[in-house]
Formats: sequence, structure tokens, C-alpha cells
Amino acid sequence: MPLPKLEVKNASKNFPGVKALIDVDFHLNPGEIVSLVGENGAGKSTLINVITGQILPDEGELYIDGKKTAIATPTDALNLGVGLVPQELNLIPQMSVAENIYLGTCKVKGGVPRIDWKAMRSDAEEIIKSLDAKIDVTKNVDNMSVADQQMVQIARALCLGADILIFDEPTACLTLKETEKLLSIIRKFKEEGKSIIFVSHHLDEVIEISDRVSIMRDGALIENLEKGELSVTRLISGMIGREAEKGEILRKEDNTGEVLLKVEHLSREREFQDISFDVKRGEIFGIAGLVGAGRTELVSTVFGVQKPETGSIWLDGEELKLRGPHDAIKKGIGYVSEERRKYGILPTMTIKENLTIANLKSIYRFPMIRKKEEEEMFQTYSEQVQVKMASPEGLLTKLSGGNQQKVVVARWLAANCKLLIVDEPTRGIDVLAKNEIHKLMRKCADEGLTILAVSSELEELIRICNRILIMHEGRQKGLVDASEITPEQILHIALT
Amino acid sequence: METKKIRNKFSMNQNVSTILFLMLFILLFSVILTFATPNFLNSYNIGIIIKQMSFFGIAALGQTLVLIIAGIDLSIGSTACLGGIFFALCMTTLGMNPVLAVILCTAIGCGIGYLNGLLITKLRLHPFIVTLAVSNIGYGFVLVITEGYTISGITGDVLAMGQGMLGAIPVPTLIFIAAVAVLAYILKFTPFGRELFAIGGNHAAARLVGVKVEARKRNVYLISGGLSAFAGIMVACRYNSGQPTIGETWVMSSITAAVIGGTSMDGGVGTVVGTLVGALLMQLLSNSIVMLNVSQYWEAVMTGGVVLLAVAIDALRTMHRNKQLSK
Repeated sequence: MPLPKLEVKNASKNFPGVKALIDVDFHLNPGEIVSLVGENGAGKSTLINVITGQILPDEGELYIDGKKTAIATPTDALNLGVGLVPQELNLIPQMSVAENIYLGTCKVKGGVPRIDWKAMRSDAEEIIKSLDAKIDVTKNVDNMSVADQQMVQIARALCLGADILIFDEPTACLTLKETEKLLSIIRKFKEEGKSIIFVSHHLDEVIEISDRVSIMRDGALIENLEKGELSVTRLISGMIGREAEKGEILRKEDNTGEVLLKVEHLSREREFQDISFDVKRGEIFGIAGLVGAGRTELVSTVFGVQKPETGSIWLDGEELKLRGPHDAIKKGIGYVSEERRKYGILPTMTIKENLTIANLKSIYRFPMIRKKEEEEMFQTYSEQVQVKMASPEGLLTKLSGGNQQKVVVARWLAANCKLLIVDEPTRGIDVLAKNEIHKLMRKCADEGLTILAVSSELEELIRICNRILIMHEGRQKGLVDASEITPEQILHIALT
Repeated sequence: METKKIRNKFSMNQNVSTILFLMLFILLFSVILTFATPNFLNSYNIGIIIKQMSFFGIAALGQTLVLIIAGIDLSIGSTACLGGIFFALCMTTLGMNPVLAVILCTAIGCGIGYLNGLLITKLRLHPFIVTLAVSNIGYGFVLVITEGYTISGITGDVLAMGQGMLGAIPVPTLIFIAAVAVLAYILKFTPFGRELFAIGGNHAAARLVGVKVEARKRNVYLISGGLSAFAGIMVACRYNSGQPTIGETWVMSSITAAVIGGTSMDGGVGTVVGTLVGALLMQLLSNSIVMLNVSQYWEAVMTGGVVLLAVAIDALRTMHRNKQLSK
């Protein structure tokens, strides 16, 4: 038995009201790929934060190569050979690739210390080349694709010669092809003898790449599964502690309703061209496509965030000329963005205030917001989406991702919208919460809400939608009935 | 059960606890001053303190709203000065009706504030640089108009705005408290108030929940300009004259009062009651220096020290509370 490359012993960490880690033992052998899986809030991120020095555990020890060490800051982690590719990329847009790679670990030379720009550039080029990426290291990162930015992030993790690499949800924003490339890079690292921790909600990827899987649940490390024992159902049952229910079909075949939303020949240069479709009342209508297909741009145009250049949008037989989201909301449209932190959450406001903000006018009668009516509104809709929380007066940012998402959805239910646009409604959300959100969408549609759903997860769309619009690089490639289609066929339509 | 207990123990709103803590500090400080000097605790001196805090305090209320939407208004001092000077002109040279003069000069302040708002929202300029430039222009106009001299000779009942007493309480203090009450109400109980916190916390998300972000920002700068000009008019009433030095120190002291009172420079957090208490604390400090016969030159050192102390204590309490909660 070789000495583990990295070992965490008896780690515990408490946050306000939550036991985030309970007595966790974790180890990683040299040249091994270990995946961490678990529902949101299971403690994966906390464990990674402990290993990378972003938080200190209340108790527990850390060993690297059998030596007891303390990692108090992210720089400590880098110096000890631990590199992190975080879930949310944290590059500085106004800086060049090389500067981003060596952020905080600049090369310094000379008697009077000064930054060694030349060495930094050539070393950065070296690392980028070793990743088989074609990126100009002198360019700023702000206009680069997500996949390229991720390469820069990987390069940063490698810049001090890390031999333990941690990938936190690296494939969440990548296309299929980019994902494959990333997985092959990770395999290459393994061949070079590096040890890898891989975190993902995509269980098929996990099974494909892992030597071993550690399953976490409610802050504890429940079990370790070796390569031979891996299967999707086995992983899910480990994550949720019981047999998972099969992803049942939640689609309704009834397509007879009257038209609620009609989009005709909608175009915006460089974003999407000549898109036409209609959505029926009570329907869940999907928009499929790879990243960069123009889906988000399309739906944010419907929501009035930007104006169409040509074409028209009709709601309930009335043409919409929207001057902004506030107009769209007045007409009965709601929008759940794909980037919850950036476009969904009001971070300084309470859970309750976040839920009621889009419909204050119904609980405001001069001269004040009626506290009792606000409380009723909150009770009604937080129960409908089943938010788990300690108190409605707590900050929304203190909830887990899945619960935050539920509050953001409830916000629009409270606003009594007719048409709800959801953009990647289950991104970064664990299997169980995903299921809940799907059921919630179905329930709302049954009660008369019309839903326009954008998703990169084709199974998800097929499960819940009546019909699916397929887009690729700004063009409408097809409009299909979800009951007669498979994910492979959708991809085939998109790409041919 | 366990989590519930913790929640009750710490359920007090952070804003409220900041204010209570400050009040405690003020009380303690007052007790010390009472023992240190016989001149502190008497109705005359207390009257001076609560009167003096009201002038810059009213401008600080506007600053608080601006800070809540994650902006900053460096033009409040200059706007106050313009308000005071124009008011003095209206009352002396032009011989205008006092009510009309107050309304007109406040409106000028609103106009300046709205101009700030327009530049910030339409041209997407940074509020720091816009309000700095507008501040310079404002002071420039003051000097052009007054050539550096005081415009004196304001007479009549309107002077009560700056020097009147209602019973034992100075009129400026009453105006200040009324303004705090109105704004506190607006912030807490109206959609407008909610929307300001939404904008300050995350303006992109605020826009997507239907807040007219740009219009609200313009409103807030307008309010800030109006309050500043009004405060400037009150100063003119206090001294029977419009002086080109009105509001000279207000930019910094308004930000200081707001921050001591718990308003965040990052936006999305703040209360006007906190700003009132912050203004009181600053005035108390300045008064104590006079009372204790310390050189005036020490005032800035002490004010700066108190700001650091206040924010440091607040930060430490937040950290401590989080630790307590996690246990």
C-alpha cells in the first residue's frame, strides 16, 4: 500500500446553523483520480475549501506525502503542490492570460525585486502548450470563450508545478466536445503521475473517468466505491441514501391549447436569425442547443432585456414593444436567469424580500407595504416550492444553491406571471433537487402557467417539455415533438 | 430545536444592534464628559450639540440613500452652499417671499442632484467623478456670485429654520428628526425603499425583477441634492447670511456619519436612523474637544479614530456573531 499523496483525517467544520463537515476521512493516492459526489450541501465544496486553504477546519488534520501540514491560505496550497480549478472561474478580465496565470505568484528577479515579465510570458506559453490549447498569452481574458478561460484557470493551478489537482464542477458550462477534451487532459495528468480530485454532478462523466468515487451526504463521507462497483443507480442511491426513483416522464401530450406566445422572424445581428415559434397556454416549451447557440439571447429578448432588430413578439394576441424587463413583467412574463448569482439574487436582502420583490405593487397600498399580506404571499409561495430555511428573515445568500433557485422561481409565481422563462433551471443543482424542480415546473404548468425552458441537458428537456425548438449558432434548426425524439436525434438535428 | 434556540438568541436585526451599540457608546461617553467637566450637562450645551448635528446631518441622509444604491455624492457640500447663497440672494437683493425662496432654492438643489443622476445613468459615468466635477463647478459658481464675500442681512420669521426653538428643542433638530422619520418610513415600508436596497445589492438582478434602476438612481441623486440645498438654507438662516464656506466639510462628515451608523460603502445596506446616531456621535466628539479645552486641531484626529473604531468594532462583532451561530 503506497503512502497516500493527500490525506484528510477527522475533519469537521461548523457554519452558522449547519454542520458542513462531520469527521471526514479522505485520501488520495499518487496517480489516482478520485471523484467526490453528493447532493448540493453535502459538503463537497467545504472539503475542497479545507484542502485548498480557503477555510480552516474546526478540527482535523491534513497530510501531504505522509507529512502533517497546515494549509491556511490558498497560496500555501499552491506552494504545497495543490492546484484548484474552481467551479466559478475567477479570472481578472482586464489582465492578460499570462498575468492571470501568475496572479499572486509572480516571478520576481533582480536585486531590486521586479516582475520578470519575460520569464512569466514564456513559462505561461509553456504551460498553455502542455495543455494542447491555442491561446495567446498576451491577450486579455475578457473576450475569451468559457472553455479557453477554463484552460487559463487550469494553467494557473499548474503554474507552481502542482501534483494534486482539484476540478470543481469543471464541465458545468462546457459543450460536449469541450468536455471530452477536458477529460482527456485530466487523463493525461494522471499518466504524468498527478493525483486528481474531480467533482461533478454529471455521473456518467464521473463513472467514465474515476478510479474511485467518494460519496458525501449531509457533511459526512459515506462510502468509497472502487471502479468496478460504479453505476449511475449505485451512485445516486449512495448520494440520497435510498434507491433513486427513475427519471419518470413528466411531459403532457396535450397540445391543443390556444397560442399564448408567438415569436415571428425574430433576429438580432450576431446573436440569432429569423426565429419563429409559438407556445401554447399551459405548455412547457423547450429550447435546445449547445452553448453559443443564441438561446439565452433569444429568451432575454422576449423578456425585454434587449430589443429585437427585426421581427415581432406577440403575447395573448397583443404585439409586445418592451422598453425593458419592467414592461415584460407588467405583461405577465417572468425570467429565471442561468446565472443565479449575477442576475437572480439580491444579496443584501432577506429570503422573504427576495421572494416578494417582483410583485410589491400587489401588497402595497398607500402608504405602505402591508406586512401581513407580504407574510401571506411569502407563506403561500415558499410552501409551494418547499424552501428549506431557518427563518424568512435570513439572507438568501445563506441558503444552498437548490434552495436559492427555488426562491428565485417562487418570486415569479408570486408575481402571477403567465409565461415563465427558465434558463438552465437546474444548472449546478444536485439530482434530487433537480427532480423537485422538474416536478414543480410540471405542477405549475398543470395549473395554467406556460413555461419556456432553455437547457443544455437534453434528457431534461425530453422529460418535461411538450415540444422542443432546436437552435445552433443562432439559427433555428428544427421544432420537434418531445415524445418522438431522443437526445442523439436532437444533437443530430442541431449539428447537421 | 437546537437551531431554533440559536436563532432566537441572535434574531436581533444587525441594523438595530448596530444602532443600540452606538447609543450605548454615546451614553457612556456622555457620562464620562459629565464627570470630567461641569459645562457639559446643561440644557444650553446639549441644545447646541443637537442643533449643530442637524445641518450636516440632513445632508448626510441624502448621502445615506446614495450609498445604499452603491453610489457616492461628493457634491452635497457645494450644493448646500449654492442653496444657502441663492437663498441669501433671494431674501436680500431680490426681496422674495421667504416660502417661495425656500422652495426655489431647494428645487435648485434637486436640479443639481438630477443633473448628477442624468450624467451617471445616461452616460454611464462613475458617480465619484461626476459628483466631484459638479461639486467643483458648484463652488466655482459660489465664488463667481459672492466673490468670496458673505451675503448678509436675511431677516424675518424664516430665520427660525436655523435658530428657532420650540420649547426646549431647536427647530433645526425637529426638522432633522422629521426628515429621518420620513426617509426611514420610505426605506422600510414602500416599494421605492425596497428597490433601493435591491439596486445597491445587485443592480443587474434588480433590473431583471422589474426595478427601473436608472430612474431610481436619478431620483436618489435628486433627493440628495434637494436635502443638501435645504440644509444649506438652514445654515443661512442660522447665521442670517449666506457664506461661501457653507458645507465645506460636509462631504466627508456625511459619509462618516452614514458609515458609523452602519451604512455599507458597497451598497445595499444602511439605515437613516443609524446616520442620525452617527451624526450625534460626531457632534458629541467635536463638542467634547471644546469642553475639555483640547486644541481644535485634534478634532480631525479623533473623528478619524472614531470612524476606524466604529467600523472595526462592527466587523469584530459580525465575526464573533458568526462564530457563535456556528456553535
